[in-house]
Amino acid sequence: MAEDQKMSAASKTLTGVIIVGVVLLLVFYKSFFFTVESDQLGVVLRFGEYSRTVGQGLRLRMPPPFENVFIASVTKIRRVEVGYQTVRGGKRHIDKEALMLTGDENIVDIEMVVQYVIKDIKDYFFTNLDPDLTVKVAAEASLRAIVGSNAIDDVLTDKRAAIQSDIQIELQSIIDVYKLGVTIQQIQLQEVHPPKAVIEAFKDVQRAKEDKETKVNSAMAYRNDLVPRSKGAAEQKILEAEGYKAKRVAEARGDAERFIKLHDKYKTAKSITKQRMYYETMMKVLPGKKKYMLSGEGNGTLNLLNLDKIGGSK
Amino acid sequence: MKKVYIVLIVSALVFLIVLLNTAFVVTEIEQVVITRFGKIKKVYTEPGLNFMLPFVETKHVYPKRIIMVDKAPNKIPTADKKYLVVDNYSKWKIVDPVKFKNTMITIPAAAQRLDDLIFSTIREDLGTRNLSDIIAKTRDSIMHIVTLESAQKAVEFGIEIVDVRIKRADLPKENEEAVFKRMRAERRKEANQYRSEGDEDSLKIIAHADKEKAIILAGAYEKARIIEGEADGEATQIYARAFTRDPDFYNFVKAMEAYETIIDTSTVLVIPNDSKLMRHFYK
Repeated sequence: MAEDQKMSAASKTLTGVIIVGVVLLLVFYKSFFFTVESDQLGVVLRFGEYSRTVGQGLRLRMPPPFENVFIASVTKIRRVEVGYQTVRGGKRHIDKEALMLTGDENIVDIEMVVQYVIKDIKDYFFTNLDPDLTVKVAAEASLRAIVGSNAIDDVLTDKRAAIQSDIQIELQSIIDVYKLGVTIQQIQLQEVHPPKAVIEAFKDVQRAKEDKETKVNSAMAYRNDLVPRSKGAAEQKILEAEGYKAKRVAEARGDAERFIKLHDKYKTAKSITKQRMYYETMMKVLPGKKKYMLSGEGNGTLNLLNLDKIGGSK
Repeated sequence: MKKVYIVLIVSALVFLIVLLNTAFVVTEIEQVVITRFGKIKKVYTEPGLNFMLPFVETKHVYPKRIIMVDKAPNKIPTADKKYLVVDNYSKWKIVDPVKFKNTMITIPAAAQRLDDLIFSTIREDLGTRNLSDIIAKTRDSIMHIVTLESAQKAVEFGIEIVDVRIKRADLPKENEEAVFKRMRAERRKEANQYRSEGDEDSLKIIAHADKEKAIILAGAYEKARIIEGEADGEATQIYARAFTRDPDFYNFVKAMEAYETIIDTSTVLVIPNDSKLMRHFYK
């Protein structure tokens, strides 16, 4: 009888312990397991010392304080915004961050985004207290250092790509000094403008350039219209002259030919031809005209005439 | 039976309590100084599990990682009597926790002390340089020098200054407007230049075009006149060649033609009685 009691008592405590153990495990399961997603890595410290880096999966661990676990995504692209802040529904411009001096003591307004990923997860967790804030602060410093060594026109126009790559190189070298464990993937100068206070004046320069081009173009259009037209008129003038020449020479030749033919004919019978021609002319000319036939004595004595009457009524 | 259990549990608890007060872990991001009654006993800068005397000894934990401090900007005069508003940040870490404990004691206190130290170093350096150089040329060497000098001064605090860097260097607000004014004036000048160049160039092109037109037309007119002259000359030659065959006959023919033209319907003819034409009539 006593043996049975002993057995049941022992088994009771055993089951009790097992139940408590299972309950504790379920309640504190987080202290014994952790999940690493596919884009993540986990760093485990055992008794404070680095023990292992683990990848994707459900992982076993010892509860703190025996083991500590740090997990972060190593493929997620992290962003730092300088000069603006993305807010719900758009972005908010931050003048303090965006306005900066250029090498020729002008002021420019820049919005920049930096994209980076964790390269070394141990460094990322163990070397710097504020790795992400560090990227932001170093990014600002790099941006202003590079912009500060360039003239404003270079920043606004052709050297933008070169400046971007200079900033990236500078920033990467700074964070490498800090052993941040991070790689800068890309730097983009998204907005590069003259400050709002002067933007009108800058735009006007562009407009003035266009005005100049317009004026020159319309002058050239005038020239390109005028010169060919003048050449055309000139051509025409010469052609007219040549036409005149052709006509004149032809006329002359015609007249000369006619005279020569007439003259040849006349040569065969001179006086007869002359008389014939004379009479033919008279017969053509005299009919129909008022004529006064003078009779009277003597040669050519002209009687007094009433010239008004002779003039006739017209 | 029960007594055994009670003793076991109690001793386990006691053991646990003692353990909790003596065992401690130094992680990768910590360094620990153990003091006994205020006296430094042990320093741990490497991670691991360690033990200390409970109640008698105190554990002081300091960060091992690089700390960043970014305080408010300061207005600093330059060599050429101009002012720059400089916002710098610094990166430092505790390398000797004992020295740090003795001098700075807390992180915030250290941050303030370091900021003052660094600020005076920067001010000293910038005071020897011109504003335009600071902005454009010597930023790197300034930061390098300031980092080295500040680092030297910080060694006694057990601190290693990793980097001092200028985050922003701007003109004071009052000067900003002056810069904007100057920028506007420069651009206005540029715009005016473009526009007047446009006028000048276009007028030149138009003038050249007009001149070219005049030359072309003048040339054409001259050529035309020459051709016309040639035409007249050639015609005259042709006439002459023909008519000089017999100038009298030409005279006669021409007279006949003239009569046909001259004697029109308004002509009144007075024919004398000795007219050659009418001699047969008057016989």
